[in-house]
Amino acid sequence: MRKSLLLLILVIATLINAETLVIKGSNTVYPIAQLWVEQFQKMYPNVTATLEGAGSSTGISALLNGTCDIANSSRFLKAGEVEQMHKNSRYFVPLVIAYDGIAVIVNPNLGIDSISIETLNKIYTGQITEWSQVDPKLPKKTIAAYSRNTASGTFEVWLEKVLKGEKLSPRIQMLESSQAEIESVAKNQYAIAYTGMGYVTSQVKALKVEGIDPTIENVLSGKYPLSRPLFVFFDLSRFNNMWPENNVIADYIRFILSPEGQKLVEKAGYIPAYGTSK
Amino acid sequence: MKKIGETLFKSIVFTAAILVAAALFGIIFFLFSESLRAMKEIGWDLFSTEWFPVWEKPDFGIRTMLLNSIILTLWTSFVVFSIGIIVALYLHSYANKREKELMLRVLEYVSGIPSVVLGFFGIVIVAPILLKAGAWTGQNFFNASFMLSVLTLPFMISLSYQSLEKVPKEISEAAVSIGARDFAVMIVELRYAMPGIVNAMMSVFNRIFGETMIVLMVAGGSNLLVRSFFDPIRPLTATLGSELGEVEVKSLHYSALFFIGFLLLAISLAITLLTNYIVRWRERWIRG
Repeated sequence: MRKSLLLLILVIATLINAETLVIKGSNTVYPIAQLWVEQFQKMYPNVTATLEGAGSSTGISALLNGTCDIANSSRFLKAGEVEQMHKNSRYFVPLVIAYDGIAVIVNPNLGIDSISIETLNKIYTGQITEWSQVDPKLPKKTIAAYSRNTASGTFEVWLEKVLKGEKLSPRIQMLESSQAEIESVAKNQYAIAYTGMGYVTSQVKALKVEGIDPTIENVLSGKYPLSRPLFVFFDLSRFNNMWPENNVIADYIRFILSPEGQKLVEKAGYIPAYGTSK
Repeated sequence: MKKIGETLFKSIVFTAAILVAAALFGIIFFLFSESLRAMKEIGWDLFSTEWFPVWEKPDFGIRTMLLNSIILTLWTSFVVFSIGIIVALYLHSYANKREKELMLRVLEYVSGIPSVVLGFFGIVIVAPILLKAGAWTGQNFFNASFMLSVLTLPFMISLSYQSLEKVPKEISEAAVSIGARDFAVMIVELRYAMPGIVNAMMSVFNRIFGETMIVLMVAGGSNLLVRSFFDPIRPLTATLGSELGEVEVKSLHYSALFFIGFLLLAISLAITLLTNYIVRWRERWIRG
């Protein structure tokens, strides 16, 4: 009885003593952050980290309100947000922690190797519906074009870089996961889809976009057109604009930039911003 | 002492009943209040054809999805009702004891398959077959309809069969004794069993209308009004299932999704009430 009481006091004491780390923001970064938090809590058992994916804007405004410590974002700060930051004399530090590279995939049996953004735009807005319109050498077959559902971060990039804000054709089929896309394209000879580069398998063929191969090097050098950087923001003004050496935030950032942290980026299907060990 | 126990038990049961009723009304109220914003700000445009929720100028029109939902449900129900009743009649009138037992056992197992497994089956097995048959995409109206039939046929067959078995022997014997042939006897029995069968039809209809996982996986997910069996479609439930998880809470998109939920609930409730009305008060319509 006494032992258990002691144990209880001990547990409560550690709970009170525990540091917290609140992370909020982008759903695109969420799968990476999930792996990070998991590993981070193993390394620092006295830290209680909470993670919430609610969109980049929500994360950044939470950082501004002081309701989170780290904001994940799939885009850089908007002009209005920078202004807000100055008004409140805050100092958000941006870190590029990964790249979201998107591969355009087709069935390996389709005789096409390269595609332009313009053609992709025409396919996804419905101006082109048959492969022979893409290239006269290709068969006169209906294009089965797949897209990720509108909730995904991959779709956001597509909307920005390929659709350029135009409306998706109603013929485009929405799929719920990258795996479903790979599966569908592997089975259908006349299908096309796009997916995070980390998900591409040998069952499908990744096309060159504007003549550039979808490789990690081309994304890191900025040549490949269908990619974007992913950010983590934290607020340095909370520490008098000094690097918070002994704070849990510093531990977390040190971890996510470390080789182990960057390996988890790859595991989540993204491109590590600091290169890979390969 | 006994009395106290009894009172206690009564009050517990009473509270439970009240809670269930309250939960139902709570859900309706919740769906309604969350969808209020969409109704106010979008108004009748909610019933336009375009659904572009995350674009800069968003559109929240559900007409195409609603029509696809209705067409898919009506067609699949038609298939399931016809096959279900025919199989139930066979089991009731022709099958011997061993056949009956085997069939009912198999149906029991099939009805236990989770819909996500059926969806997976649809993607992995049915879709490639449809592609070979000439469809331009494997996930389409036919695939969804087929998998939904597999999901609901066991219910339809076993519920109709049970209603047929409940028909008193005197009814069929009377029919036989005035010289009715097999077919005519079956009609007589069917008519007698009709209230039970109509109830089965209603629950199957609601099940198909509300099923989310299968249509999310195999219906194709495109906002195209169905024109052929091989067109990919996206029923209302699929949109709800796909987008609700990631939507910004309290946004217009969020509210529009709740409107879909509210509409689904309203339609399903209306169908249930209508069937109850027919079965309870208008038995003559269906028994003739």
